[in-house]
Amino acid sequence: MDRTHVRKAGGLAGLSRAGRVEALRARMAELGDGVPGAPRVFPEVIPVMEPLAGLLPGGGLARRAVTDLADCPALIVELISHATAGGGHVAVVGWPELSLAGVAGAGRLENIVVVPDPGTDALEVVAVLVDGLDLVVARWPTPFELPPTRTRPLLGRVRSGTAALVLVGVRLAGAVARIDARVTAYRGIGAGRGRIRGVDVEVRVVAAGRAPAAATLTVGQRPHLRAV
Amino acid sequence: MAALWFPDWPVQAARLEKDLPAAVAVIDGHRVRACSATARRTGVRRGMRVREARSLCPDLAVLDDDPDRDGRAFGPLAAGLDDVAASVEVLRPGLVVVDAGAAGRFHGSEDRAVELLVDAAARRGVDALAGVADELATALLAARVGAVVPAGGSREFLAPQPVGLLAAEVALGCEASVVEALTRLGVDTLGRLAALPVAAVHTRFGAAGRRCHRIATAAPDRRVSPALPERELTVVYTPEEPIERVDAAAFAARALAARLHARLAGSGLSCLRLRVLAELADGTRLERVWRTREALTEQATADRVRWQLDGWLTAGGAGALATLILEPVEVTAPDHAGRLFGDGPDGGRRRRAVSRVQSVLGVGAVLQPRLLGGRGVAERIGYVPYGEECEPAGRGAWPGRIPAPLPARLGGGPDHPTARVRLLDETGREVIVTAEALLSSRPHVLGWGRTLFRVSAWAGPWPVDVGWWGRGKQKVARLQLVGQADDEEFPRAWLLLWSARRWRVEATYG
Repeated sequence: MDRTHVRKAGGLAGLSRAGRVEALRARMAELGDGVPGAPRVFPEVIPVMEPLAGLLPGGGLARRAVTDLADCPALIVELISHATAGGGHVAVVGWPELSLAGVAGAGRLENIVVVPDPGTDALEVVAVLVDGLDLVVARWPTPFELPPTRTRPLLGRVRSGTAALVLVGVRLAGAVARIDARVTAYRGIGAGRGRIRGVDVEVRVVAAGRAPAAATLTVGQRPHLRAV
Repeated sequence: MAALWFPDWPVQAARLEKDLPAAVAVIDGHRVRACSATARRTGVRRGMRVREARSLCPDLAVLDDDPDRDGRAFGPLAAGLDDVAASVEVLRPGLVVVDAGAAGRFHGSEDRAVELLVDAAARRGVDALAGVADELATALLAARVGAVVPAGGSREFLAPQPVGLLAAEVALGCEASVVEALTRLGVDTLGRLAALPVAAVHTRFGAAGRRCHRIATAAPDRRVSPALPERELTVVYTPEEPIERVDAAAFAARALAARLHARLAGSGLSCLRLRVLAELADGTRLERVWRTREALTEQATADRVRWQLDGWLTAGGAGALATLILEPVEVTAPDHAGRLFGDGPDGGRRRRAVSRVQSVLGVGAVLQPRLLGGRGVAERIGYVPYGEECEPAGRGAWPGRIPAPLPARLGGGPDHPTARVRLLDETGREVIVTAEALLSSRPHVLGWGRTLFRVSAWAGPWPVDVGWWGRGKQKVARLQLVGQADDEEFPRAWLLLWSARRWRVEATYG
């Protein structure tokens, strides 16, 4: 076994959410400034949008861990957009039909690396990329179950890397969270009038050590009441 | 300090290139810039109009001003002077300044050094005058009369010189208007100018006046500053036989990259942008600019060259490689390379990971998206190889573009079988987009593959009719559609595209 190391149990596990945020802030202050003008921050999670953040342990996608995600491009593009807007670097492996046009507004396209065709050994490509980037999204066109012999080396590489790995269309036994998402409604459009202004996505999160929870988040404009 | 002056150098340079009669003038914009001694004897002066000069000297030969010719002809002369003295500065073609003190100590005496200089610059038909003085400006003025000014005797030498001399030599940096004003005021020699209080001259004429005063009083000046040798960083490889095969070209590129790497390391630089230029035997040039941060390894450069040539071959090109050039477009000191972009230590790790994937899959398989602009969804994002430099896309307004939220799953292209859909109304007729950009009837059912979706909402059609003025004609209409199948729990939405009298799926929401 190579490149394994014992991870410090950093004392975050037993605290409440507010306590965790405080501990992380103290760590950030401790790390100090590496680059003039830009404080060096290395949080343990990739931040995500609000209703989803409350459901995930740590408030986001955990680094050095694997998260299973359902095949919902609207949610993926929102996640990528949010991650790049926070300064992170994202890689998308094996998803040529994903359109990144939605990232252009709030997110930063220049922080994204795309590998549309990873060839025969896609897992190896993913394993290389998790050591260096902040978020790696990998998709296999036909959903399948990853056998444990392939799982253990991949999990090892993920644990020694830097990125949060999100697998779409693959179910992994060692995932820390499983996010199911489906679009439930399209807002703003009627029979021959309006246009799609918001997409409601219902997310259901099953995380280790927590009860399954669900929430609905809206991509685009949130529904609001307006006095006419 | 010794100055070597080649009088009327533009004329002398022209004479070196071809035979000319005795009276010659070099013209710059209808005015005489330089003229030969014969022409000057007949009354032609610098700054005079061509017509007037011709009237004074009817058989005047007139040439256009060509600074390239002046520089070209002067190059070998200046190079010859390097053998005699170490610090040689070329102020302009036709005027050279040398540190005579150092050369004098080397050759024995200053007179001997100046003699050697004049000999080194001698060519058949080239005139040169030498002047020696303590200060640079005084040496330039001394060169015009061919005098050797004794140490400390600059002021006495300068006193009787006319003030007009200051404007005659461009390299002195005196403004002609100031000199003219001084002459009109009656200050006609440098001695008189030196006698004036400097504060008064400065107040009346400003910085230009102060400069003239400093020259007149032989104030200490700057030293000779020879040009530093510039290290040439571009590497070129020209094989004896044009290379026919791509892998041989990649091998040559690897050796070339090693040479470039060595040169950069020798100069203590690292390359930020690299231009790879491949010239083929028939003259076609393939050029690509790559952005890099760490010094490229030979393998990475060879990969990029191979990809560049491969891409061209698959696009249908053919030819043998005649020359390969690697040119660093932008270089910087290495410790700034990372900090410039705020990367820090993580940036290096990330780039290494990406370049490892690139070396396994090929440079064309790892891409980065860039915003191209457009009204639809599929055309908005283009992909370029990661690390390639691309100009930022122009920020157009694109009125009528599909607004956010955008569908994220693309439909697979016009010929993809799953992209075709059928849109029917209640009576079973096809729904089409009429010439007025309206739907022919209310859509009721969408057939996609084998499933039928009941249409619950739609918006559009939004027409796009562009390109009719040129080649890229595009006449399409887009429609947002929400439908639900009977056996599914939630609705689906599509962005449909009407093109060539057919509906197809451009992208799917969700």
